[in-house]
Amino acid sequence: MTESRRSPVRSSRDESAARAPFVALVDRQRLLLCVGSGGVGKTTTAATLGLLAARRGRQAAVLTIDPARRLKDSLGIDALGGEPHRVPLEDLGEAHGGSLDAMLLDAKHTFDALIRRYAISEGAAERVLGNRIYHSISTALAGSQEYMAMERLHAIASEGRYDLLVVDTPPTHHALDFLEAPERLTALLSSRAAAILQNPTLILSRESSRLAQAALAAVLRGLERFTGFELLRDVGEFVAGIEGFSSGFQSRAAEVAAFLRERDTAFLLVTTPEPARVGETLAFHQELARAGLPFGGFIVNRVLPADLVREPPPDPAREEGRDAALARKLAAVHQHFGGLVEAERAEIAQLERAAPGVPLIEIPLQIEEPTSLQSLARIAAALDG
Amino acid sequence: MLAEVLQRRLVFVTGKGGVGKTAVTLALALAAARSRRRVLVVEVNPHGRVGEYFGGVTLGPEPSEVAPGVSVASIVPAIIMEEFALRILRIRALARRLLESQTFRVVAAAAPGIEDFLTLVRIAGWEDARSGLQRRRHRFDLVLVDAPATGHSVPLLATPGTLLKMLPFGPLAGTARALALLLSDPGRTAIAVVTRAEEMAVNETLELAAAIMRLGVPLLPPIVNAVTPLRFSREEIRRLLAEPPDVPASLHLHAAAGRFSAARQRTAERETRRLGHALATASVRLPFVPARRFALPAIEQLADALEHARIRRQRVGGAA
Repeated sequence: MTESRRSPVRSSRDESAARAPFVALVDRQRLLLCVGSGGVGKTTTAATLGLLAARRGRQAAVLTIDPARRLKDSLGIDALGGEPHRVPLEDLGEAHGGSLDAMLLDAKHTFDALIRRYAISEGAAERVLGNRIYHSISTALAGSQEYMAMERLHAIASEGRYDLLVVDTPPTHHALDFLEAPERLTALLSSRAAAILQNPTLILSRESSRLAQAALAAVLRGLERFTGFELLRDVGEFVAGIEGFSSGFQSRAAEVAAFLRERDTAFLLVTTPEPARVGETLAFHQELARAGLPFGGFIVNRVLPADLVREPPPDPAREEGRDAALARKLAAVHQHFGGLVEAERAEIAQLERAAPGVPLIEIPLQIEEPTSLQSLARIAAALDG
Repeated sequence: MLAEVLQRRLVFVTGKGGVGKTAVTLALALAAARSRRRVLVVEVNPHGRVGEYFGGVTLGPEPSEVAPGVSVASIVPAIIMEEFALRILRIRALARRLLESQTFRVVAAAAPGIEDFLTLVRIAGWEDARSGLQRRRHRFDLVLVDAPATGHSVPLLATPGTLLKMLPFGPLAGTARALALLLSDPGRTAIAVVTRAEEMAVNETLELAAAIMRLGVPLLPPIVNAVTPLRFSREEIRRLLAEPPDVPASLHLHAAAGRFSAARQRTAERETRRLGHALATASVRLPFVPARRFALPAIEQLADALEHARIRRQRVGGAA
């Protein structure tokens, strides 16, 4: 009977066969990084994987960047300033010997902690923390948020408190943005740039022609005018303040970069089955491969459950009165869902072709968005099979 | 809705990631072009995909016409920095030389908000019909900005105000003041927020709308994108969601799909209502359009929907 009704939809048996190695990732890896474009449900997915790991007896932690308020509330991590919070799994009536901590990756907080750790003296730390430029660098400079996320991640991994860290990364247009962030930031802090910033006229002596020197001086003055508050002096002061420990920063950045390539690290690409998102995900996949980063698998979020269209469509002609109207609408739903399921299968097939044999799991579209701990735990239980 | 957009000269389209900002921006552009407006679509995101919809053209810093009445351009950070350097240096070769220096890049990166400010300056140049940026063949009636997602749109729009606080005098203060005036002028400028009839998208939209209103930038009715047909009446939703479903035996096999659809409809209606109540405004619904990747016909369909969209306070189920 199953043979005679082969639809373009994969049977649930196929799905569980593809799922098994995915659970192995959760069982064996020490670090899972969820990467994807904005709005695909990365944060929710990271939390679900954390719950799945805890179900399977691991001491797990989920580190998240900027969760929506509801999710923040469910995980209980609001206003914790980046400190770990134990997720109350006992409320879910689940006891599997595992545990889950959740914490916010707060860039400013992490940056402050770094400054305090590497500063030569308390006074030096306070000077940096009070600097106007420091404020904009720690919060607004491209890459600082990503760098700080990686820094905090490394610190937590080094503590060895957890078997598994699941990380939600900031939405990116390039999967590797946050990997390159440390380089961008350390470029600012490198001794050459630092020396120049402390004494901007040094840049002029590097230029051969006198004309170029005059031009640079004019532009630097222009920049100063632009920002209004003696930008260069502030930058110089900031750089002088952190000079003593910029080498500390750089060796940390190198350690973090190495740590992301370790064998028990895997990058997971999170997507929805929408064509535009799958296109971006395929590009991310190529980027990971080019960078030689360990790719763990795809997580396709919000997949319309294929079971809903397994039956042939209803026949409105067989119904009467109000039931005929209902049957017509159910037939329209059947057609709508059927088309969607087919389109989504075609998109998912593209992911499978791009990385044959790599784990791919599908998280079904829920009627209500999963924002409560209970709803996330239900999804985790379903992934556990 | 379209009329509200056509009354303006500059409309920023923003919203949560993944809600369809680019598709809605392009649909607004096509619809405006049908009303004989010369439209410029500006892409702020350097990795944007507007070009993909027009046969994979690469967007440049200067407008280029890709469809009748529709031009596209992108904000290229290196170019706007060069313009800035040129303003001070007045010699292009020197400006280029400077911009190639790593140190200059570092200093520029540390200057708070400089890129956002220069982005707005460039956009305002296109909005201003008298500006030198508008060559005769590039005069636009409407500039539509495919703005960054929520998180970055607010700082972008806040830049002139922030700058004026830091720097109330001087040559750049004049520019900042003009930008602040432009952004707060409901006759010229407006923000369109795109969302979906889903809980988290509506939450983020409400936070974004509050932030935009605090900035004093005029807000258009929110656009609820990708709404699936609200086909079931209240009574039908009740029957489908009853335990067990109140349907004849012949329809039992289909009750699961019906229940799923009915429950999603109920959520969508609830979230649209919540959005309307919280903002004390009506919203515009755009239908879900199934589409292949970067398909212009789907955008045309959305443009059709925009032309016919009424701004509705609430949607009550029951359409047959």
